[in-house]
Amino acid sequence: MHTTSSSPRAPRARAPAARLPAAILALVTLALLTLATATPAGDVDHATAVQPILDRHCVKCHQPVGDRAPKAGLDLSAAEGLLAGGEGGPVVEPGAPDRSRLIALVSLPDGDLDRMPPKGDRLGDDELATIRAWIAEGCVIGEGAPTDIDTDIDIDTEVRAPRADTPPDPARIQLWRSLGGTRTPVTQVARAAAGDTVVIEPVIPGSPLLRVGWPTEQARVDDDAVRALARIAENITVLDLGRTSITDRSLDTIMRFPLLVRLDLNRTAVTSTGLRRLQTMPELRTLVLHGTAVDDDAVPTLRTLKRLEQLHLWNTAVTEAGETALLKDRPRLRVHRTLVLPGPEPEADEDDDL
Amino acid sequence: MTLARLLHGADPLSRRDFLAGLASGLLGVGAASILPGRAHAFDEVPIALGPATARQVIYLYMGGGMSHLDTLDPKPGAATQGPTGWIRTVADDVIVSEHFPLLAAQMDKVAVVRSLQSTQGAHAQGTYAMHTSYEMRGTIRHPSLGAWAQRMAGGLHPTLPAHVCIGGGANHASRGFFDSRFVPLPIGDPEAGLQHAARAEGVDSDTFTRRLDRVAAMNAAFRAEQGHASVGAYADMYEQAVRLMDSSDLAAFDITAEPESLREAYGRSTLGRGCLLARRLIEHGVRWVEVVSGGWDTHSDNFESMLELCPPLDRALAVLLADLEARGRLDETLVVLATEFGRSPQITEARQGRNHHPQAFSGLLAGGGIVGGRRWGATDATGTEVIEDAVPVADFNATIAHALGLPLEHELCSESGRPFQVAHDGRPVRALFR
Repeated sequence: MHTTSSSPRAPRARAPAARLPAAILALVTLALLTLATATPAGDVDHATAVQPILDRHCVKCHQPVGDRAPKAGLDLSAAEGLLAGGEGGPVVEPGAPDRSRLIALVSLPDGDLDRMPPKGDRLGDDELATIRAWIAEGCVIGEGAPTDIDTDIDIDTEVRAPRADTPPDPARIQLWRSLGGTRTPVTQVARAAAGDTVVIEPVIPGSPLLRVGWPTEQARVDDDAVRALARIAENITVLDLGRTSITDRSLDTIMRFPLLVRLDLNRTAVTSTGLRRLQTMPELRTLVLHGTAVDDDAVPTLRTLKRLEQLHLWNTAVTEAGETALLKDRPRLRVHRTLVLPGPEPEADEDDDL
Repeated sequence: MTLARLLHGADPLSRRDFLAGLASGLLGVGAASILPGRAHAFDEVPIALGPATARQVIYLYMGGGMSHLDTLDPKPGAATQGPTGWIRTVADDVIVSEHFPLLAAQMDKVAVVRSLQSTQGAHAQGTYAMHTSYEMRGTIRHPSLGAWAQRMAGGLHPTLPAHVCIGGGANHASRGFFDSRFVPLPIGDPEAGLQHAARAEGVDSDTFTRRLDRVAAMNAAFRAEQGHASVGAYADMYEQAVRLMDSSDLAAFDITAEPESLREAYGRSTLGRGCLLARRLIEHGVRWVEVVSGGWDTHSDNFESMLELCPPLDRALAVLLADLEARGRLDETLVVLATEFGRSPQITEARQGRNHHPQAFSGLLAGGGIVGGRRWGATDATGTEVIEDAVPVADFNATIAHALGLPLEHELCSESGRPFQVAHDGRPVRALFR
């Protein structure tokens, strides 16, 4: 991280290489590799030639003072700031003075509003030539150049003690570990049968528990695709069937997934009648039913799901009375039945819409 | 005369490109074979992921430096608080500024981090540090966290991009030294969605395929001859674009398909529309969506600016959290609010503004396994210094990476062989997870 002095700096090769035939390229390669281990010295030195010019013409505005940031976020008081650029991006492009904004701005004619410096003498021809040459040589910073671009903040100079508290894994991950237990990892799954777009992956790396979903073309996923999953019934823990074409018939298969923890049936054709198949599923904790035709008839079924924690019923026909019945004596259950939206914005004009 | 000098002058190939080519040449890495969704740039070493509590991320970035005092860390009674008042939230321990009444009602889902610290006090450097966990250097460009997530965990969808950046411009979230496949797909106007994704008028599918085949044939010789990763990456990017054009999930980009009432609720601001688009993209399987909103650089008229800046954020963020929860998406989607730094408690007298303040500022995390309804860290009575549980930028990013199961110790090398880590030297705040 940041140090105030003597930070090791990666050596910089200076000039770009030309496109050359392969044989020469190989030679150049070797030579450049050698170069990269040496410290190249440019003809124009930043500290003794370039920085004094910037000090004369630029740093009055382009350096941080106290809490005040430098103009345009560009700190020209040190090499790092010059290389880093400002709010408008880099100001020098190593090897390309004609593409460097610094050169463009100081070269503008007098009277141009963007000319730098805005007041006072413009850079002399020899000064401009010096900076151009330094950029053309690849913006080399020699040893001893200042490296500190911070003004007053240096929180990393202290050695950070390790945090004392390392809490246990999050609950969900503990659950995956405990449920996975002694189960054998599935090495071959019925991928083809479940459709070519199915994605089957472990819930956490190395776990025998599987997450199954269809990230695309959900409309093609039907009850047959779900039935094909029966071969890995013991391992399916997360099942996302959102927006698929499945019907209540799929629930006949799903009810035989003993470790199912999270089931997403949003915007499918399942009904309260079909949901009865899911009665007493032992591990189900999250059930997503938004956008289905499920109604209060599902409440008795849902109450048999003893581990249920999150129940998503937005855009269903379940009523407030149904929600109340669901929540009776179930302090850990959260039912998300409504989406309360704020009223329209006040009529104030918003600049960003213009 | 040095060899470098000899080469100077005639050059269309930058040193960085040259070294990239060199690295791939020496390592014998050709055009990489890509597993669907999992793209590896230089090496093909599989990256062992850890257990994840979140699968996807919506990263809201407030450009310019969001005042912590006027948003998530108000200081009742402090002389430096200015006219901004405060309100209680549904979380006992958390108050917010009076500009966030809607978010206050969603605070049970949110962990407010009030002890962020950055070493960078200028916008470009601060934004860079917040996104990459590293300081800006002249010698290297570091990948942003979203690019790391794509690189390490891959995509979730066969045709949609893994990483989308709304309203940030093409260079906002950098691919760094990763190859061109890791540039986030930029969306300028969320209302307009994805532009130029249709074939040109009069070009039917057959013609288009024929043209692509011809391009591929013309490029084949060059590809075979060069065999460099960057050449392959460019071709892969083309393929990805064509797959996206034919994707049945292009509708993911169209927020006009959402009900009018919901669009009203998110708000007509760019941020509101961006958040609605982000939610649609998450639902369709995009791994990482960043929504960028600017204007927070309130050197002048800080308090009047807050009246314009805060309500759209309050609305967009609050509705986003409620919407994700109603759909059963919040448990696996991490929502992040970040900015490059806070603003000084001192109010400038002449301009009624606040200046940059990197040594203490606020952000938030919600969903994706985060324990809601609480705060983490604290600042002193004026919001000047962190006095409890400091969270340097790298630690904040390590926390996000940890939620996604990205291995913090895993090193990936730049073209020149220098090793870098997803959140630099950051360590996750594990206590934030449920």
